[in-house]
Amino acid sequence: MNLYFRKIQAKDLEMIRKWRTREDITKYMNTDPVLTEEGQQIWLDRIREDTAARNWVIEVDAAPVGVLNLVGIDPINQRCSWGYYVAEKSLRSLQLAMAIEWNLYDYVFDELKLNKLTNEVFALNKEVVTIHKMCGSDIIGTLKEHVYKKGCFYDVVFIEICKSKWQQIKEKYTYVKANFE
Amino acid sequence: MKDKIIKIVAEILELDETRISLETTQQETEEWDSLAHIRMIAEIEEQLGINIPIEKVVEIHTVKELVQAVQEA
Repeated sequence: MNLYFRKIQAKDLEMIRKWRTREDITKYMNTDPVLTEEGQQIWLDRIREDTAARNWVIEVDAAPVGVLNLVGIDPINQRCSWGYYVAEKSLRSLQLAMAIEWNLYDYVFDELKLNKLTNEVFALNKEVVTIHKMCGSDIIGTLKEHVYKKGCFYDVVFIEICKSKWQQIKEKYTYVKANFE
Repeated sequence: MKDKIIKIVAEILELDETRISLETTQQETEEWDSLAHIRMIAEIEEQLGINIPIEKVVEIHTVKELVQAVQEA
């Protein structure tokens, strides 16, 4: 498997719009956005200017399969948050999920030189919480009724990993090494 | 042991047991995604009272490899 993270381009916008509005993608997201062609272009223009974020298309064997993003890059406190989805159902393996996560750890700690990476996961999405734990992240706690969507409040699990922990454990794991554009 | 694991795999993937064998692969089974993988391991660990190391869990791509991982646990 060849894994690559390519910067999002204008040609990706319609594909991403279709992915991001699919029920199987949005059900664990904080929002269910209504996306338009014009809105997508505005979004691309905005993220290209946003120095506190990075957005990539995930490519497996040169085919686009999902989206990965870093947000809230904070050089003062040396931390950021992340999220991703794999839209291509046939490639939603544990191996790919963990390879994406471990490569992102390397990028955040070695390339961006940050100290901490955080993310938030719906508590009901307990298998994804388990995957983050397996990758080395720690569960910090549950934020009760943290997201309101479609008439319901959802609990959210707050997750983090620090550079020092990743440096301690990374040698135990074997994973496909990926490049970031 | 093998039959019990196949039964658990079939239940998690919501497939008929006759469709699952040692040769069943993750790559050829769309229902076998990362979430199903985690559910399978958790169910097997609970029912058999074992613990499969993370390094082994990641290397499981087939039912045969799953059975081997259980035997070595």
